[in-house]
Amino acid sequence: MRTASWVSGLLIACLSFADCNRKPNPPRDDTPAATTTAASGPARVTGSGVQGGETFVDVQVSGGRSIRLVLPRDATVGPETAPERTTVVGEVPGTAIVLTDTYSSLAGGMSYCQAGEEQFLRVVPLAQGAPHDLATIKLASCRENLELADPGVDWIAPSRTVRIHWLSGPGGRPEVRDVVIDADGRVQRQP
Amino acid sequence: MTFTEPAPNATFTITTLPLWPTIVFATDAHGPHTWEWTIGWDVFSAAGSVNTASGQWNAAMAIGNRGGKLTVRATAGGATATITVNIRAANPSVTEVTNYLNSRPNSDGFGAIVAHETNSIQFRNNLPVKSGDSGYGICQLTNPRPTFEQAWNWKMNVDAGLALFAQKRFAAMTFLGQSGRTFTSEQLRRETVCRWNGGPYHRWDDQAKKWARNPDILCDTQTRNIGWDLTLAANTGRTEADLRTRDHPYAVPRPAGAGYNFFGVCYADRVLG
Repeated sequence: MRTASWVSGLLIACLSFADCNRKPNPPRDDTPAATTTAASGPARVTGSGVQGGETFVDVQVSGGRSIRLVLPRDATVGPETAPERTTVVGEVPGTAIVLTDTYSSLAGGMSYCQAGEEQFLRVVPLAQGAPHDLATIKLASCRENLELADPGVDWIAPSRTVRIHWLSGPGGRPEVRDVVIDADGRVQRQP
Repeated sequence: MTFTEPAPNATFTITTLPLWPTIVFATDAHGPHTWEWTIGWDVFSAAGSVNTASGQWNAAMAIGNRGGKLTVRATAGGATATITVNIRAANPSVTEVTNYLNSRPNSDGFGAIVAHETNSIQFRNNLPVKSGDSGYGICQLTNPRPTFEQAWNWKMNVDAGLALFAQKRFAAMTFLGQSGRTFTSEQLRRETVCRWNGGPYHRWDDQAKKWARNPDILCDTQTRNIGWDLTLAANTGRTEADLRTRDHPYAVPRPAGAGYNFFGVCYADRVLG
């Protein structure tokens, strides 16, 4: 089943250093994760891991504020699988951050997708107050046969748009989709 | 009221074709009968009820493509009797599985995966094989979860695996055919087998105007699909032996960020030679 539809989830974030310091919830030593930053802005990932079947990503956004994101995954990722890569795609300062998180696929029988990957795009509103709406879209998936083109994701800062290029999209065909971020950091609903 | 046939706890065997045995139940009672049956194995079960005008019933239709323990309760004129028999299966030969695969469309490469992964074994001790992660039969079907029938009918099991393989073949054709590019049947075969395990096999060589194996993946040829991405600074310029010495033994599960990884490219090289 293809699942590239929008999913609303709870974003749990520490919205200040003080909050984060009070509930440290540190990365687990047994699930190290590589983190990279390909930011067009100053935002960067400072840590990531898995806890209780969910991903946590520590991000330092512009202005130096640190937040912890708790990101849901789907059944194509093992519950104890830490993110292989977390990458900042773009940022609307003070409004939203866009990132991707990538995992090894949950393998099936006969080594099916044992070397595959699952990748999610997240659009995270940064306004104060919680909880916030987190937008998730499945970008690439061995288990669901979703494949990005090359390049696959463009960040168009002036229009606050993420442009996704699929070689094989949710409909099983090449597809280009624009994900536009509102002034409040939420994703505009697709018509 | 008693069953006159079959013998209690009798065992019936599904042939390698596979052909299900005729299992006739009969009682010493006369007149209309009701036959309530249940069949179960592992997490699978099915049940039903059949009425007949006399005291004899062939259970073949009710069993369908299933196996395991079959219990039948017969009722006639207020009397009842219950009996249990066993249905087991003979494992198909590698040749039978290969011939079947060759008869199926778009299966090129799947036989090599089956041979590499399970050696065409559907039954062990005349019961369906079940791997540690609840993968059933020749294709170790897990997700989508297999049906009762796919656990017992090896051809249905292979067909379910082929359905997944067909998705990978379609993705391979889309990938190789992008921008009007051409590809050979051998490239399609490798691309499909690679994607079964994960990721693309080929990279477009813009100078030669043709597809070529991803040159950045170096495989540990002593493993199933472990290799190294030579574009990573820690791996660049190093040899297979050198990297194996550095990383072996490989931790399971692989820690995120490790220098080695699992690659469909290496899997395809291993499976297809």
